[in-house]
Amino acid sequence: MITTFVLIAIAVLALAFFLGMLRGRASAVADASNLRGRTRSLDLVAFRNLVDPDEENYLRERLPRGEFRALQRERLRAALDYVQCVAANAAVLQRVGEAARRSEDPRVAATGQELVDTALDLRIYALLAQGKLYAGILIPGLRISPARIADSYEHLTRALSRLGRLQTPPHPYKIAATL
Amino acid sequence: MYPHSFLWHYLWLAPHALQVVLAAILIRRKLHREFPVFLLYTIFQILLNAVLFILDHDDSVSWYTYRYAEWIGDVLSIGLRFALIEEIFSVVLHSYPVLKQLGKTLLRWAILGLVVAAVAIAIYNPAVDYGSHIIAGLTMLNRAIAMIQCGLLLLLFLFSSYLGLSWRSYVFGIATGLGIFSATQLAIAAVQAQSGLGDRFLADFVPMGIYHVCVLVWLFYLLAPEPVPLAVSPVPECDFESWNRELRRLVQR
Repeated sequence: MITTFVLIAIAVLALAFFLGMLRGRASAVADASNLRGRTRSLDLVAFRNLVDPDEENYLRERLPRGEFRALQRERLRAALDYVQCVAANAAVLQRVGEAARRSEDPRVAATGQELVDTALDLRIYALLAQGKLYAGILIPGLRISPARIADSYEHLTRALSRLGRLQTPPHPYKIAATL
Repeated sequence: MYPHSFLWHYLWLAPHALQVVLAAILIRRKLHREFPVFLLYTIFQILLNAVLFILDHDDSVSWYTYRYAEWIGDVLSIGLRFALIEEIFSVVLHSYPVLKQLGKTLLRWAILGLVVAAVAIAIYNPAVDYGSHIIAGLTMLNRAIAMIQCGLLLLLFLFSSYLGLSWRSYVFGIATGLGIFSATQLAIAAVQAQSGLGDRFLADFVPMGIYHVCVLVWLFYLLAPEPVPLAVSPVPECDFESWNRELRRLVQR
């Protein structure tokens, strides 16, 4: 009987979800001009420092166990903020890429596609990295290496820079530099 | 076999009459190239229900003959719906090459997980047997299938929603219509597995009514014009400025 109730509840929620998608779709606006000001700035060097295994080992050796665990938790929470910010920025850039890949200029379209691909890669990796960071917060001694996310992020900003160069030559580096 | 009300006849015939229009639109707009399984499913539903309608109104056809025809039709429909879900996945992921492999892997694992869950529920909570093992088995099968199909569609929506994938109107309409149908089927199958097929309203009117809604959703999205996305070409000047401000703020921190 409980299983039946659970299944009915799941079905009702699913139905509400699908009907909600219909309503949401009707009000969705695919307006890329709304994207301005949606990105947040990031300090890549600081992020790398937070997830640097050498830095972690250094702290582990120098600090008492309890103090290290508390500090490591703080460091990972900060890194988690960075990752969430990276994922949010990637979502915005993905929309820029989506719009750019519809361009009639094949070079702009190709760079837009590359931007979309990199942003998606980054978002998937960010999802995995968040899981690892949460695990690290729960168990501070756990070995985690989400530093690769920084490389993906650099790749993403390079793609955006190329897109900017193709679209408006005077400004490209400013965009990438601010991400 | 037995007299039906006007509403019953309407709910049976109207969606399939609309599906004739749906098939015509698919072919006319050459969408059958992109959605061959959806066209096949639509045509199959039209033919199946035409045959069942004739059988239902022929006095020489026994209840068993009708039921066997209906069950065979149901099994083929289930197979086609799985193929349709696979087609929806392919169409959604088509413009995202980096996600193709991940999407396939996710689909396989999701099917495996949902099958295991459905089998576990079937063992833990078998359908109530009111005299017919076949009907009890079919009810359990229906519940399992509805659970798997609903789960796969939910997964697709959640996956694409998390990654912010853009859907074209047609595929969105097809997937949402199928999702509404699967979710309702799951609720009905769960109730039937617990209390039997007795309630005529639940067994006939609700599925027929919901199917009608699904066909209307499909038709609406096929007829509605595809929204023209706004392109950022070039990236607006003001965006550069705001990003520059962000950079300055970052440097000054």
